[in-house]
Amino acid sequence: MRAGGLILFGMSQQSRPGDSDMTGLYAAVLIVEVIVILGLYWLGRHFG
Amino acid sequence: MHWIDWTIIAGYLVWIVWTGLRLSRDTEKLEGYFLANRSLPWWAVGLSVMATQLSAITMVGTTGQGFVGGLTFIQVYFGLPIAMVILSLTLVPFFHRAKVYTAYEYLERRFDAKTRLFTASLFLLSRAMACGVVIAAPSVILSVIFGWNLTLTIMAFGIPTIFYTMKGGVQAVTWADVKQMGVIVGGLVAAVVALIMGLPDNVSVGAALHTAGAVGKMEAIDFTFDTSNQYTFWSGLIGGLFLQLSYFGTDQSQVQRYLTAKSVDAARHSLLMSAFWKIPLQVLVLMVGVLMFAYFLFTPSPMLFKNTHVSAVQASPRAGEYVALEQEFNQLQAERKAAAEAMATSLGEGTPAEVAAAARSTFVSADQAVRDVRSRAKALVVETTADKSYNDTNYIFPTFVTQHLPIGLIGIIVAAIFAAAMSTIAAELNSLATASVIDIYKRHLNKTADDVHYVAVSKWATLFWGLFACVVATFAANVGSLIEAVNKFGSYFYGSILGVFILALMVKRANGNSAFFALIAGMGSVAYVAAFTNTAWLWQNVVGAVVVTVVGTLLSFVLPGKAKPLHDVDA
Repeated sequence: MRAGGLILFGMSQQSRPGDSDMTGLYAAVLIVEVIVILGLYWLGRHFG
Repeated sequence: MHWIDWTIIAGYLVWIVWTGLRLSRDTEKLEGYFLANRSLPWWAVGLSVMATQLSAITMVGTTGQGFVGGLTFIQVYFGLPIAMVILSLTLVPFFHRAKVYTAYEYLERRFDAKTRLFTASLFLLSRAMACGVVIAAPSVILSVIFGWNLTLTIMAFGIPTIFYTMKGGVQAVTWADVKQMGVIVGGLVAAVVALIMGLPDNVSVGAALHTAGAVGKMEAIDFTFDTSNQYTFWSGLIGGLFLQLSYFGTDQSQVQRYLTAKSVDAARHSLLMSAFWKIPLQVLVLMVGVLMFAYFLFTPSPMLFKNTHVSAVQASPRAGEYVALEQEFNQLQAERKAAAEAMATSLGEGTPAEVAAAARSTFVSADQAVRDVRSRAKALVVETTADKSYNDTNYIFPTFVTQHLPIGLIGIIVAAIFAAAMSTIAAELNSLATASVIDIYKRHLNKTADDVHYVAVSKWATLFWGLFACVVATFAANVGSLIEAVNKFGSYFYGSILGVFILALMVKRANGNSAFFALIAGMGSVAYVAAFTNTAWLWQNVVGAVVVTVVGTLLSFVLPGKAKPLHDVDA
């Protein structure tokens, strides 16, 4: 099994002609998730 | 139920069936019937993905979870956004470019026919049973709450859904899903507004949330690492990641949604819609439960929400004990209400800190006393009826809807429960028909017929699985523990099937034999872990995926078989 094979494989799939570069969108997903989790944590602290 | 509510529900059913049929085009060919000629816009596919995942069990069960356990259930979904990004990078483009109809079709190209047949069969068996549970759960609840006939309720869920899914294929399913998502979200928002409006005039939303928060209902995150508890940050993030990778990446009921997208980009966007919106939507569902808890602090509630068993206790020799408990409950509930009002008042500016702390402490004790009586009442029901699976969590939201909402709103929310159930059932029937026809009938039984024949068989397959699910629903409804058994059954091989796909993508030398036997080893490991350890089911997906990947890799060194390179299967 190659180390990081899944990620490398994904990158190779990403680079096909005609596909959009969605790196920014993926980053946005992860950033929004962190914000949502922090928001939920704050809810617990504020109302708890 | 008032005739206005009946009219709303009937209007909803007619509208959904008509929508599904009206928007289905070019369904004479197999690709049109099963994949919408790969032409659907990303937003429609994205809404369909979300509607498929959100079943009526979410509407009635998760709101009840919010009432009982607060927001903590949300952690189960923490792995979902990451899973969506991983799938967008890996399986989504792979499936799209391979031009497959089913996820399992790809496994034959990569491995062999037996691996495809085995995984497709596992899917058919588990998904058909699960579809029965998706119909049974809301049918049982609505029939108990409204006094409807159970068989007729099952038919009310099943028949319209079977009809438009059969006639219009995946396009009918997707366009109906789009409308159904609107009905579901509208119903949830209406419930939140009604709950807020139902709070006493002197209790603000903030004060209501503070009182709920005082007894832990607003605590969503638990950072403890405990594999026996699925409601922790780490279980949700790691176990949930594997669960969502399995569900969205290898379960045909979801894979088929994004195979209908017009391009790889559109498919990716459709999944990323869930990545952004699933957790907030689920918070909304749970918040309905938390607000119901706050609402019932100030409005009397029944001691137990599931009436059928209560009637049995009241007719038993222990009826006196139940009456005594009920009197104690009413007394304690009144004391809790006074304590909640005192706490809400103490939250205002100018209240000394020690007074506010004392009010909070009194309220927490009062709530604990109410919960203790409820627990004793439940224990009495279990002892008297000998039904160990007794649980009234799923009856809390329907009780609130039917006993505390005005005419019209009841119809809207029951329609939303129907929408949630039907969107899931339709997607499951459509995917069951697809796997039956593509992976079994067309592959093994009749390879040379034309599309007209295959589409006709697909419609019959949809009808067959629909009726099968209704029969399972009837049995599951009558044997409550069957619902739990079916849910557990699916979790035994979810992670293992993901492991087969990981082998396919990451382990070049893996072959059909190594994948096939690794899958069996993975399922066996999960069954062992489930039976003999205290591991939460979210972690069972991790066990299955890891065992299959490791065993499959090792077996590929010793078992004969031709490993097909990835570029041969990427059409």
